[in-house]
Amino acid sequence: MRDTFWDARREIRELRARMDQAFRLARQQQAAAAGQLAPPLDCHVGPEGFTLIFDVPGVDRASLNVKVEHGVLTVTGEKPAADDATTRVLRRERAYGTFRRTIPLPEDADPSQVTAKLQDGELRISIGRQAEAGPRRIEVVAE
Amino acid sequence: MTDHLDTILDLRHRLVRMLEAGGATPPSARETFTPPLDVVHAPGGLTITVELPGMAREEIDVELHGNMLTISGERKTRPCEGQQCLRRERRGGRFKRSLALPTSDHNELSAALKDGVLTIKVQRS
Repeated sequence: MRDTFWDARREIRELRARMDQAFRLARQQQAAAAGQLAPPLDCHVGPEGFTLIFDVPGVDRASLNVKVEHGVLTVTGEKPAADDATTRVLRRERAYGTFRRTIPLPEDADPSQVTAKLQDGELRISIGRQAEAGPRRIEVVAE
Repeated sequence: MTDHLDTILDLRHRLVRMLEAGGATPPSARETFTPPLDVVHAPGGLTITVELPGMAREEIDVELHGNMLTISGERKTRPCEGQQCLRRERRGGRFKRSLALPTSDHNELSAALKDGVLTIKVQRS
């Protein structure tokens, strides 16, 4: 019975993850359709820590800003369009402008260990993981 | 307990079907993508830009057949590098974009890749 219960819990968790993913994609597509810039993100976790990779092609390093505050990672930046009065746009599928993405970090992310690297239009942010804090035992004292 | 489980399993089945029917399949399930492309006309000629973040020069093919320009390749997003995936929004896979250039006596073409953007310049000669 216990096994069945845990299986069901896992099922629900996986289902939830899939739904979250579906909603995220829908939001992303909506933003892209509106011509807004919303850099897509992959995030994975390993024993060393968390890695987040954003697609930011054509975004200048100087315009990028990465910040961790109150357990939330914020990435902002700007991708200016290259056209001016002398040019004529024949086709536009790329999105331009400013962007801002905020990602709540997991509890065991270590905000003092963050590095960010931009290469070939990919922004890679590495965040260390705090050592597993075991449950703290609080002694009951008699008054 | 079994009743509840059946309800949950049924719900799961219906939701998964709904998500798949709605086209909201996770990106890993459909491994093709369409990199966004711009075409801008400037006094010197045409500039075509394609967003291909993380790709190396040798992974991209640029070909001209007659006046048909084709850009193709495969973007590998290396999903999670063997680690646990928390989010997956980036798209990858094989792609192919073609566009007809204005016919003229032969255009001079140059292609450069910088910061994940492929820039192709077509100069009128």
